[in-house]
Amino acid sequence: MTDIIAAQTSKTPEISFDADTNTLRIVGKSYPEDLYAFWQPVTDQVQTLLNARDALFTFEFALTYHNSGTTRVIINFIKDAERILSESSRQIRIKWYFDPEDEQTEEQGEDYRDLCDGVTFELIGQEVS
Amino acid sequence: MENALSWRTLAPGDQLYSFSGYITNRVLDGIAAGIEDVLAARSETNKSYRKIFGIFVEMAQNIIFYAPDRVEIPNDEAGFGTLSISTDGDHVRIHASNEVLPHQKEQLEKIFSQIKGQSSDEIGRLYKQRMLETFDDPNSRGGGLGYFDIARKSTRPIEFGFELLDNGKSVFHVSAWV
Repeated sequence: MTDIIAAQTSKTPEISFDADTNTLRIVGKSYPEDLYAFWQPVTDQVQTLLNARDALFTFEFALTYHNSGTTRVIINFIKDAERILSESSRQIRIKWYFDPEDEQTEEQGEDYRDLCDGVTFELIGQEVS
Repeated sequence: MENALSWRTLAPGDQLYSFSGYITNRVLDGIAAGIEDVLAARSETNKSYRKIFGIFVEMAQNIIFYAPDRVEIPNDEAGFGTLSISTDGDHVRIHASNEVLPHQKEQLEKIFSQIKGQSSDEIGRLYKQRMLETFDDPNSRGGGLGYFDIARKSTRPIEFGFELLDNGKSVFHVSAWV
């Protein structure tokens, strides 16, 4: 069952959670007018979801554009994931999808991957709609 | 005629887009969607439209969020500035101008003194270093990460400058190329 946490707008991504696979999906663009007003409730909810079960938790990012403000939010997701990993035996992985023609999103994915220590970070080039 | 144009008027060159005035989130909403569609469809920009779009949005949001010439409006923000996208030989130039306060000028000078004259590899390294600082400091708003991002996306060294105004403020100009 998939819950929509936030519906997609021109400046903000669709965020959904699939409870069957314990997967959070972030799809679309992110350059919100008010970074914290949009992301803070999402971040709070992700915290709750991360702590809810011991099962493998997957973040799936399929962003076609995100601004530098959103970079800070993504870094915080990685930071939280790393902290949880260091404190428990839980498994967390991040899948970063990019359009093979989108050098910008691929490069950003590589930067985030380099920040990961314990968290598995996969870069996946495939057509993003 | 070029010299007669002030920063408040539209920039010279082969314009694809130019906008001058109070930029709001709603204005950006409309023009960003249109720009992305047109750039993706034109042969000279269809391979690079994502980078052009990304730089344009960073520059536009800097004006909306920080330009000191502002109008208080309900449910949105409005900052005065100029934005343009123009062709420049084989490149596309993305340019922004807006007034800045003395302390904003100082911050920008600090950021650009790090970027200026650096190779693209070095700019990539500086970007990652700034990202790590954001990572390590929970209170950091990542000061200037946006300009490191613009510099990294730009395929030619970015250019910037300040014009001092009589009122103590300055006009800040920045150009990037893709």
